Amino acid sequence: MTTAHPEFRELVAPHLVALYRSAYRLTGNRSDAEDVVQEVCMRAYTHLAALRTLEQPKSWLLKIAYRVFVDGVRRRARSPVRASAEDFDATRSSDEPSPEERAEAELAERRLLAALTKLDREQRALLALQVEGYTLAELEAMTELSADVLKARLYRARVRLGKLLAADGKTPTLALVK
Amino acid sequence: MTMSCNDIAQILDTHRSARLAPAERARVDAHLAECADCTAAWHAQNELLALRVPAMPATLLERALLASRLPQSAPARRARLAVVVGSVVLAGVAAAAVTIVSLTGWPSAEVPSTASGEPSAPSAEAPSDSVMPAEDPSAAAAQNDLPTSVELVETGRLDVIPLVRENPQYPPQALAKGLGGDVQLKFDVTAAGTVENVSIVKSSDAVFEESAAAALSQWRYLPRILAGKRVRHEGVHTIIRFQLSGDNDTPSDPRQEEAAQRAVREYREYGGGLTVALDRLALDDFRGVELQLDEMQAVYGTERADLWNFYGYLYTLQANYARAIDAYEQAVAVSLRAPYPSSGPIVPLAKLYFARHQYDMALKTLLRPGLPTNGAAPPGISRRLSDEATALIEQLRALGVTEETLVGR
Repeated sequence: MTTAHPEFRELVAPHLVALYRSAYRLTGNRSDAEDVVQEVCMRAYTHLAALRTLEQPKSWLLKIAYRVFVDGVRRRARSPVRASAEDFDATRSSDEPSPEERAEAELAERRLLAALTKLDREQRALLALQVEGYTLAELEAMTELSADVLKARLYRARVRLGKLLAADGKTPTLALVK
Repeated sequence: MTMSCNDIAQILDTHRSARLAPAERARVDAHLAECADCTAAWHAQNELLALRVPAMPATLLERALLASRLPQSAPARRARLAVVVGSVVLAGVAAAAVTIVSLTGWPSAEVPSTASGEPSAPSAEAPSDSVMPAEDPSAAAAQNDLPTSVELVETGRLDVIPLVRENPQYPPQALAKGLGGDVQLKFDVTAAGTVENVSIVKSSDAVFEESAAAALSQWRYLPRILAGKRVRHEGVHTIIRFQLSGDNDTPSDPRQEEAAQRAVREYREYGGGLTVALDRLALDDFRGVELQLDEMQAVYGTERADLWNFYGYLYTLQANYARAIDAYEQAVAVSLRAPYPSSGPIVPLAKLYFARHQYDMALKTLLRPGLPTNGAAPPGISRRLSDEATALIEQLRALGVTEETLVGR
């Protein structure tokens, strides 16, 4: 079986978890996150020569991820059902305590993910990457926005999200049977 | 000293909101008490920080590397295969068609005579001007190596669909006489998806029996899942119909015949790939199955309903229901675009929605337009569905979900 260039594996593997985490925050569900990661790898592979000269491959990979997400590129065509908030995958790794807390957290996450779908893709992408822990300087490099524009957009995105959450607070987002 | 909105934004931007000194925290609270925007922003940031990110799937690196290695070639292959699939289906014009009518899913040996797929008189659809000249047995023998098209006609209570089918040989004696016919067979699908205990229930002519049984023994299925486990499924029925097709467009063009031959070879390769996946499944090597499916998808593209179906099956076994739903949705979408839509993914998909309490989605899935429907129409439902689908609809009705209560229909 042929496989990707071994050097590519060495360059990408150390950053894959960071890439996946950001992709999950961008997309809000695991399968779309995986699609983003795969798309990023496919694009990065075609630029292997450039990749090996970079000092920080990670921020370059994240920059591609940001573009992939904001441009709405999907490797696989999705059925329209995917777009609804109901379909966000709320399952996670298994370090949860009590079932009650877990249910509570799950509901909060569903609300958050539902609210995020109402932001435009750029706002959502900025929030995702910022919360993932990147500095403003790193965000500037990924998004090619100036610091002032970036700060203003981040603030507006947070305000909008907070208000969506407040407005949505009492509406259960689980599928209810009539 | 009071804080400004800019100060709040700066705290959030620099990831300091969770570790403020008490005095600073008090000043933040004072500002938030007076500023609705900053309250919203602060709340949003906390919610975002609380979102837990699942662990990266262990196979993602391998899959990403796999995807990376054929960035350009995949679409080209996909386009070519679409043609190939078409010619497999159409290959019947080159020789004789073997139609496989699967009547599966109930344990008794009775085939309901009301099933829409009940074979009609064997010769009813065999035109008299057969493409096989009866007076030329050598040509008939040569043609016998050509693709006979396998057409899966779903009927009745289908809940088991063969994934890998070996084409039956059209018996030369039957070809020479221009004879068509049906064989109804009964068999078990093992927990590994292989076929055992093949027996003939009835046939229109004994000449077809051996060939039908030999082919069927080679078929592979996705084993039935019961309570999360793969189980043996006994008493599955299938009807294999041997049919001479008399279309006028007999391929005189050798290139066309060559293409048909190539189609058969590629179909074999494809079936071989699926067999590898099934063998790994039998060994509980789920990761191996997924890698094999990924590899096949990279080669054959995303327009293969049975690959998506297999993903759905695999994720269901692994209790990864969100991904299973995603995969089955793809299977449905692809199937709807195919020349012969299959209802294969419908029931598993509906069951998954049901298990996740998305009852409306479950019913909508069962009633999705454009897919073949068979069996009797349940009361109050405007479509005819398989028994399994009907049972699910009854369960939904018990929960108060019916066609009338569906939102947005």
